[in-house]
Amino acid sequence: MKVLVVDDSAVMRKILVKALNEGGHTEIVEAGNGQEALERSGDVDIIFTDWNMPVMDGLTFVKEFRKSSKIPIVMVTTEGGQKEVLEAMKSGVNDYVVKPFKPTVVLGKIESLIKK
Amino acid sequence: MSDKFEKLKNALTVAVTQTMENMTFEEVSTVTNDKITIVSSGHVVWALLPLKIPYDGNILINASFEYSESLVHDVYGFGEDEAVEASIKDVLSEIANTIAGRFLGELLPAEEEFALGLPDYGKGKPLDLDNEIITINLKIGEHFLKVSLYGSDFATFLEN
Repeated sequence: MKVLVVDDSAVMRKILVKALNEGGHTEIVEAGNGQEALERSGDVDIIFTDWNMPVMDGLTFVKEFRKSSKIPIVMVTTEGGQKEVLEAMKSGVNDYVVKPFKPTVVLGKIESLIKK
Repeated sequence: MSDKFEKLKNALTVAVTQTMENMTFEEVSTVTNDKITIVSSGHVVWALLPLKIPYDGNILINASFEYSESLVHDVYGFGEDEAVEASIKDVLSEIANTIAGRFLGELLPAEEEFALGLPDYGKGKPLDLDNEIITINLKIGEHFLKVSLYGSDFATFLEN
């Protein structure tokens, strides 16, 4: 399974990748903003994306991506981002994780969304 | 100690320990003695995250250069060729931002909105500010870390 991790912070991408590796997911593509994510999302099976990013933010990315794909998208958000989460869900995000997250939470999202 | 102080302290302790455990993948323990010294053969690095709404204040992290460097290389696996200083700044800023969000999420009712400012970063001597409210001292492996909450709004919160 191929996972796309989208975040402008290299640290947060490293943390997500480490969590995914713990669950045996090693085929991972990284992107630093929504524009890069659109370019690299060709054959991925699930996407984890941040919301506030330069160049193209998470909301714009999800709206653009949803025009051509229905694969699961998980939003990675900070505490207090409830408004963003609601907007994200309306725009096509399937689920979300709140920072700081345990690797098991990230892996649980993959399991539940891919099983659906 | 007042109930309000306990509430602040508990919220900050939960935020700090959960953030450090989940972001550094290491077991974290709090150190009960009030004053610890960050020992560093190099310099101390710090990250300061302003809290804007509903309370004006700051979350400050002081860490040794060695610990920060070990996070960058050993925990996150940044390459030796990558700029260490920039990576440390990125790591501490993300940690400070996550602690601040988790702290206010723990402290405030679920529906109450909050806003954070942009992180600042520096190195040299440990940073200290006026209006210190609480400091949480952490032991992570062989390293110590100090996370402090500052702000006159929190002093007012404790008084009212």
